[in-house]
Amino acid sequence: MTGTNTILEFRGIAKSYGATPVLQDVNLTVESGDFLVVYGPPAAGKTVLMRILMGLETPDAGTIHLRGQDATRVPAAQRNIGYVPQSFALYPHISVHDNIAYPLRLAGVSERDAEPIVQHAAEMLKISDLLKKRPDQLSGGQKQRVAIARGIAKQTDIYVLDDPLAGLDFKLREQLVDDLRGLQQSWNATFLYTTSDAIEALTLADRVAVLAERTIVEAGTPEQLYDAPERIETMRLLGFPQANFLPGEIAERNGSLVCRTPLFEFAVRPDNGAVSASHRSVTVGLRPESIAIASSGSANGAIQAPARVLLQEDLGGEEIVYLDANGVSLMTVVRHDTFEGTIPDRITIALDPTALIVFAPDGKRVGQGVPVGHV
Amino acid sequence: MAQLGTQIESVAGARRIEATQPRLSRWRALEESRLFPAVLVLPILIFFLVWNIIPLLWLLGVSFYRFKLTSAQPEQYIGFENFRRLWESSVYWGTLGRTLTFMVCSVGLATVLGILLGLLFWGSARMPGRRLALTLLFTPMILPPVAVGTFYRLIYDPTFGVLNYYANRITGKTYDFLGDKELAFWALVAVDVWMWTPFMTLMTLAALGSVPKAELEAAEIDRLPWLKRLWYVVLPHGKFILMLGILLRTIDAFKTTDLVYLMTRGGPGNRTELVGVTLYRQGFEAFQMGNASAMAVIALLIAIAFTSIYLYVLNYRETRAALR
Repeated sequence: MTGTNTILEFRGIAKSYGATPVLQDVNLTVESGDFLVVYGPPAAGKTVLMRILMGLETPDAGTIHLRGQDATRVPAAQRNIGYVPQSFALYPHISVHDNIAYPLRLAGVSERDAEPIVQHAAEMLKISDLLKKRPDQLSGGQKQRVAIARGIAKQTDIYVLDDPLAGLDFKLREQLVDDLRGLQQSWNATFLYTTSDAIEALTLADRVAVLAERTIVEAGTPEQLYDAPERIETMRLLGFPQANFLPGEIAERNGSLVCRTPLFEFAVRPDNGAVSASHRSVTVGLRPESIAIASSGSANGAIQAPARVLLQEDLGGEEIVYLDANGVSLMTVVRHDTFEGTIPDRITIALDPTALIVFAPDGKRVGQGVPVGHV
Repeated sequence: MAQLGTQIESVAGARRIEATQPRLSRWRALEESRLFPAVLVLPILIFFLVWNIIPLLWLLGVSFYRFKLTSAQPEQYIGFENFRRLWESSVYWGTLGRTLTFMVCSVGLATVLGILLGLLFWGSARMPGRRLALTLLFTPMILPPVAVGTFYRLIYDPTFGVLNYYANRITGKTYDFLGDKELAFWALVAVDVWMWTPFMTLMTLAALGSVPKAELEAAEIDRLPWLKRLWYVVLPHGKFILMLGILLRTIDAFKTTDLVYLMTRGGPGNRTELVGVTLYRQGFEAFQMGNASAMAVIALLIAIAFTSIYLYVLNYRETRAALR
């Protein structure tokens, strides 16, 4: 399980507060030089997991392996991880400059060496003009940037950023996402980053770990998780707007498997023969962008179904369209540059059957749609 | 995209709030009327007037009169005569100086010991029996000064006091702690420190509790040495509560009367006479109400001065921080 480049590993981590379990059997491996984003809905336990990694909380069960050694009982001070906590935690008494420089000096960096590091971090986070001020004179966003600067100024190989961009202004966020990514690549350091923003997770990560229902349900590259999720939670959580889910029933016809939904039928290619009669009732997942509004001529191999438009939400460049198709609620995204004119009330939707992913009741992926006649 | 989604939600939320407004309008009209704040403040204003302002003005008035309760003569307006006499009295100046010494020593020692104990309890959050130890620690503060004075008089007693028993075993001498003109003052300071150290411990614990946990954690990760941890993280957050504790104690120590009256009545000679004791004796032993009132006015002015100094120091630091 442990690769040669594994820098960090959670093994069977569990943590509960009182009678409330927060994390259960969390397993996660991080390779050296990875930008790993732990993505999960708010209050999923991301911060607790990061605090366990930092040594600020002790897990009830399980171990943490840091740089090849069991670090479960190693005190926080000796773990040598750069940390940007969710709360800014700046020293109120000293200037922004010293807030960034002081931890460096404590770690034994000489003043001459520390200065360029501080200046660079400040420049990147656009806080150079704030260096002489004290934390209590800063706005929330400014404090947050100082906290990020302080975290990444630490000279080490692992950095933990606990939802560092939450609440920052949109433009600054986008720019910081780029900067953090660039920084991580130029240092070749390992970054652990938590967020509850799916777009942020997908943009930043080399690998995404989805934390839901108290555990890491799935980890992989953003492409893997977005296009071919192995778990229904991954598909549900990752992506905006949210994926559509239809109830389905698997049946065998002419020696091949088909899935019947209230809207349409499609042929299923099971993963490694995973689907059988035992998975009669399933859930079918479908990304909104896979649903197209059909023009008059029918596309080849596409599944078509009639639908009624309930609501349109204009996001500027695109529109989220809420549909009612034979009693099933669906959501689709229409880009303004591909669809001209107004959307009529009654439309026909078209979708590529390969975009349909079939999940068993336990949430595991069991198969995928295939074009008719391709089984 | 995600931002836009939440924006849409918040707009919808704002509409919902608007819809509930008409029901609140009557309350809002009351709230917006100019009388509303006055109505809210009125009860406390009346209380303040009856119990604070009027007695104070009365006191101030009496201090300008020659007013002796035991005399058949009517009270007589004498202007600043009472104050002039106090100004010229070397005895009263001596008492004031002694009171200040008492105050500084007692509050200073109680603060240092209180902070040390507070840090000890703070650092031993997981020690078994901590709660019980804390409760026991706070008992001196809960005891009435009368009780403390009485049993310390017994402890200090030269013939059968427990302190003398041990002092005698160690040094072979007997000490009259409350009768000795060198020792009596310090014996009182010791009792006051004993009584009020728990209060400063409590204030220290409250001050420490006001330090954000995240900052302490950051300090731990940064490996800040403990003294710097106190200076950079704990003190900036805790100083207000701590200063408040010191201020309350200072004012209180300045007024110390009961403890001294019970244990030494100001003696031997006037070695332990503090302003409160003098005032009490002037008022209720000699029944010189005019004179006692003048002393009370001076004590009040000094207390106000202390409060102002502390408030100024606190504000000054904040203003300077904001300007930098």
